Amino acid sequence: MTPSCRLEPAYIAGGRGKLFSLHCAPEARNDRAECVIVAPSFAEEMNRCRYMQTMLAQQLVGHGIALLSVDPFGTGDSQGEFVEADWQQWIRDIITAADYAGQLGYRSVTLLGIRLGALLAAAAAPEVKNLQRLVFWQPVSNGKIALNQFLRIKIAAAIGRDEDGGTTAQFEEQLNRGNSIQVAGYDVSPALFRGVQAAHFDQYLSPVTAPISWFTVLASEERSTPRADLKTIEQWRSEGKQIEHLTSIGPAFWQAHERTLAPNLVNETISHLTGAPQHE
Amino acid sequence: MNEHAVVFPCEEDALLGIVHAPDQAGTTGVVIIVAGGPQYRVGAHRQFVVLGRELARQGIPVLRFDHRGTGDSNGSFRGFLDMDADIRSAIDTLFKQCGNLKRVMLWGECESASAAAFYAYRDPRVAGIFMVNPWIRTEAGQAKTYLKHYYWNRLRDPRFWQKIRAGQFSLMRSLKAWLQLLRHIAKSNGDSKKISDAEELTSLPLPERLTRSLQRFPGKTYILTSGNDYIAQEFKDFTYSSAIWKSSGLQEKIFFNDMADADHTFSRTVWRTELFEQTAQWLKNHLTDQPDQKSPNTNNNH
Repeated sequence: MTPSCRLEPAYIAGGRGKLFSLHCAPEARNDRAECVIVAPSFAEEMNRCRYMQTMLAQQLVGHGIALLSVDPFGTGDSQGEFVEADWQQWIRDIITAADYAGQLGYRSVTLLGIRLGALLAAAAAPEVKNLQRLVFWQPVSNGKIALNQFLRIKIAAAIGRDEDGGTTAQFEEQLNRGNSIQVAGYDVSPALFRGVQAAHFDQYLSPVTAPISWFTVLASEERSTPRADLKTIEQWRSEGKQIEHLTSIGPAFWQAHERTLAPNLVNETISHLTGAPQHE
Repeated sequence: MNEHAVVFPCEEDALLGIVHAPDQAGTTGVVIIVAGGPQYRVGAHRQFVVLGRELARQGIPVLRFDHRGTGDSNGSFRGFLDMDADIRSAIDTLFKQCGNLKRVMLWGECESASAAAFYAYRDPRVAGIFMVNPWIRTEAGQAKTYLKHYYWNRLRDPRFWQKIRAGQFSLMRSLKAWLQLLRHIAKSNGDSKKISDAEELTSLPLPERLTRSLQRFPGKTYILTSGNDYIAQEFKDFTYSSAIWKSSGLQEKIFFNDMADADHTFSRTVWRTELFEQTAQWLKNHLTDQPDQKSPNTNNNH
């Protein structure tokens, strides 16, 4: 049997509209109960990662740990259009989620940042009460790089249609004129674009004191963690951050067009959260 | 207009759905079915959220939901070939949520368009199907693939046998379906015209299963295809060339439309807007309280 969890959806008040929240609650809860809060990935990646967080929740509840997922404004089932979304609002929505976890009675919070969500989690972290740690799944440490990859989808789609897809410079110009750009069905406003573009661990990690568990997903044993990520990890360690780096063998679930899951990553995250009391 | 979440049962599992309830709700509702890929109830680039809100704004109640093993729902993943129980539970839920509902239209794209057709003829509450780029991809070995990836894995799963021992008879039904499938494969190119029982349509290759299912459906069907999409192309090729389709009478019975410029997911505002307008318009023109509804078997007028 697939493990299951009690689903407690609710719409909660956010800064610009109602936000859809899903609380996957453990059967028994005590004062020390922990809650994992998801900071989701961006655009289509958010959809592709959704069942990964469900698989995580289904196992977490068996260990008495809850999972809380709040869709940032303009995404998922929350109010607003995607084009109305902006980065600063998303950061505040993660803080709203953490406050809601407190209202639900949780006294210990873990932020799980998935891909671009790692930047959201890091940005929100200083304002999250009772934060125990941050967990990153294949984090994006630089928003600008993520945006460039995102824009390539648009250029590739245009090539496939024999259209002039435009260049990154043209998109910039369009945004500077105050217009949104549409990529793979997502209407990205200048505010959101600029916010993501400026988001970087360099900017967010300094005030973070909670320990960080950084999971890199590798396609096979032969692969190794990208050099840039190792460098980032080393740099933050040298500045006194507690960063544990873990690797997991599995597919790139966040970018696959077919249903693709990485159960190893879920299992290893569970062991890490429940079975390893000491940090390095 | 009210939008709220519902948790509802499907067999032993809890599913999550969102109901878009208009203030002045009409008597025809829409159940949006999600394809079996990486999507969940919000849809690719969130288009089911936008569609749900738009239909509700026009007075049409909508339910979008995650079938088992997808999105936020519990249960194990079965895919679009085995979605009947999920769709039935969703329709039950929309009827419970909207007191004055009389009928539903199923809305599906790609795999879920086919899933809607496989289900619709067995539920009299379904008055229409809106199919977008139906998925019929198959090779002669499709049934074998299904056997290999689904039933064979199940047979090797000890939990399957535990369930059998525990007397959970839904699995016995599943076993029966599997035996039928084996028989079908053994027959290889057996004469499909002999297939009469509803259960046995499940053993047919996808294009034929879709054809037979739609033939049995007494309600109305709209098939919308995108001009710029391989999946839609495969479906169109089938309707142009297949003897099964040509002799089915469906070409005259179904309302077809092709949006020449659009891609598979209608990823530009202009295509998306057109898609939503066609959905709402067709429902209002053909699936609401009108005189011709009294004889659901006459489908000649679109």
